[in-house]
Amino acid sequence: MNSVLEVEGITKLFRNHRGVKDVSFTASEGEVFGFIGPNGAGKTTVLKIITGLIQPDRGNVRIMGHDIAERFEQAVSHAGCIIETPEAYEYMSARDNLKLSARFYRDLPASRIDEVLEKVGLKPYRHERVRGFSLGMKQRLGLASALLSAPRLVLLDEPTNGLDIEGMADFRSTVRQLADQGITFLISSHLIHDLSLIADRVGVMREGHLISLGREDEWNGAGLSLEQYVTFKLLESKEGERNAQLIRQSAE
Amino acid sequence: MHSLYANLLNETEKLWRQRRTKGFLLLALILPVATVLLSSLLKIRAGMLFGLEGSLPVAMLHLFTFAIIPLYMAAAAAHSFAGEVAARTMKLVLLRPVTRARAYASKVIAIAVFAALCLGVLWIASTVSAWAVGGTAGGMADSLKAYAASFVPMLAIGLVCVFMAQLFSSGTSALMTIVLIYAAAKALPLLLPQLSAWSVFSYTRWDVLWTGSGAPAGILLNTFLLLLSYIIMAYAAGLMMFARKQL
Repeated sequence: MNSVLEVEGITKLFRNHRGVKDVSFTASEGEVFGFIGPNGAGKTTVLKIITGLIQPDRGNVRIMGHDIAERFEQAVSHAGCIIETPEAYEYMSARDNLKLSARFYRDLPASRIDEVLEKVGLKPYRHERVRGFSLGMKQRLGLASALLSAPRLVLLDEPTNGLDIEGMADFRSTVRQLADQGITFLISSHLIHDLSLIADRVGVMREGHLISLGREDEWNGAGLSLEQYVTFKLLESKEGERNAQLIRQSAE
Repeated sequence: MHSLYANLLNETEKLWRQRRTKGFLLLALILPVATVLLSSLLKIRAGMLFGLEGSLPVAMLHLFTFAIIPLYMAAAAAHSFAGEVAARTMKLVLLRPVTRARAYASKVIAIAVFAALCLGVLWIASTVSAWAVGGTAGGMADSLKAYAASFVPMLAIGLVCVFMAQLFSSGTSALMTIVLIYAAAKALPLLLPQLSAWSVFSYTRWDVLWTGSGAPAGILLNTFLLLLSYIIMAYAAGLMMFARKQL
């Protein structure tokens, strides 16, 4: 399958010496790639580097073959994102917010705005100001904004925050459906259960390092749940093989 | 270039949706009319209401370039840069296919568009108001030249505001600080007159050099080059900060 996203050795260290170190991975067409790790592991930093919000000290990012440092507009035109909390211009309606975003895409049909609002269940509220929206509605609007340009790559940071059970189920089904159509998802979340239901592959991060990359069949094949697999990888990295062995035994 | 145009439309729309922008343009429309009506009642020359010399269009121009347009540009810069960082909406622009250089240029152009629009509205309103009461608007060509010339120092001040606004992470603190710095910069030449030649804030009445018999070409060129230097330096410094901003 074609690589939609290529991340090569990205490193970014902040003044507090935290950040991400030498992170490399790729994501293929139609793949749902989950990014898991404890708070402060560097998941959001990686997403911010991929989208150009933060410039790395070293390393390259390519989206659909376009290097974001050299051809930013071409690269980012293939991506849709929610980074950290979904933000919107609160004094505007949901529709007007999307109208502003739509201007960046020359060939976007006028009907696309209503189409994505329908998809996330916000069409009845499209003329209401975002100021009155609940967190869950803002999250849906963020998802609509990320999907607006029919991107090949969608990056979502904690996308189910604020969603109710029904919203979470809708979200998972939307992601799976779009992934089946060939859209690649990179989803950062600390909700392992959520990811276990949709992710084809996960990257486990700890203290700025990508300590593991695993496919769905790796944890399923070993009879582990994704939670056990991630815990195992974290312990393996932190405490060494001895602790990991204990987890493996307890799973068996 | 499509991304520059798209974001220019967005930035213009965002500024237009603010009450302060509409209020600012309304003030440019109403103040000349109100001034003419009041001065007719008091039977004094319009400019004297504000202690200003010259015809109504020129008196209004000096009032606006001294305080109102710089205040608007400071508020717009604070909102478009520090305010958007504080509201976390800056990401909405930077996550779209537009380079930092183009995003910055479009934000700056949008602020300049409203400053130019204000000058245009003010010139029309003050010229028509002066005619309507049977007075004289002064030399129309001269006043038009004065208004066009005033755009240059306003642009320089606007770019300095944009640069300063990026030093803050809250729109309110950015606006307060810029206003204080502007007031101090306006007052400082009273204590140290030699500073006025070098301060960009001292050229808000630059238009007087262009009207009437006009100043010698050498002085016009020197002043223009000084303002142009401020424009280039403030734009470049602001762009550098914007490009390095990590959100």
